[in-house]
Amino acid sequence: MPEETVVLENDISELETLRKALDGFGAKNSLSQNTVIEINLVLEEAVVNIIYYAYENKKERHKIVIGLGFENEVVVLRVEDDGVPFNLLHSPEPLFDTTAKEMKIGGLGIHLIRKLANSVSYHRTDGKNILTVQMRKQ
Amino acid sequence: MADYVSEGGSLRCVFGERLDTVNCMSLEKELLEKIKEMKSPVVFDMEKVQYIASSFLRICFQVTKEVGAGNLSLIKVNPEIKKVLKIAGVDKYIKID
Repeated sequence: MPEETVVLENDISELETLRKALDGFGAKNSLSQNTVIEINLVLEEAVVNIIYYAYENKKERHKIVIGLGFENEVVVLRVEDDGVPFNLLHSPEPLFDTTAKEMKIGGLGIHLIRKLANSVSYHRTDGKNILTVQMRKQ
Repeated sequence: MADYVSEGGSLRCVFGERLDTVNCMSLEKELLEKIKEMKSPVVFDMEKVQYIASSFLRICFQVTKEVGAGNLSLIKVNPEIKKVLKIAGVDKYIKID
């Protein structure tokens, strides 16, 4: 792991590059459409979070490196960025016990990553955030 | 981004295949303007939708805040999308068929 690497810039238009790369990865490894959809969703939410919040100067270009691979039958995704330290495992869960009117909209992307993944781990090494997500094939 | 049909006192919004972050950026403004103008219950027609991101969930909650609880429903939702909506807790606030 990783078997494939996709390098993106911190620009929202790069989500299309990610989508195409995942379609190719899914076809090459005979993954079901639902598996590809869930991988895409988890990675899109992680990448969007990096693009929006990881860099103080959003005009500066940075690389976001995505690793795609397998361990036994589990899909392993790795997301690496050089932004400010951020461990999504420390983010609060959205509050679902309020009325719709009172509900604070935010944190839903991170909530989806945690719920769709089998396991999520984070570490910071050499000034980089490294998020590793394991997902079962559907 | 969406087709809008006014029928039976409701506004039906028919979406395309992907409601990802990029598509939702342009959809959000257009949709909320339309809803404020119509002031009627809203139905999201999800028949063609194959993919949603959290930005669409955000739109669902914003529309619910605008039209009031019980006045937004999602119809023709496929099982994978239903799974994501349930994980996100949207089904606690919005009718999903």
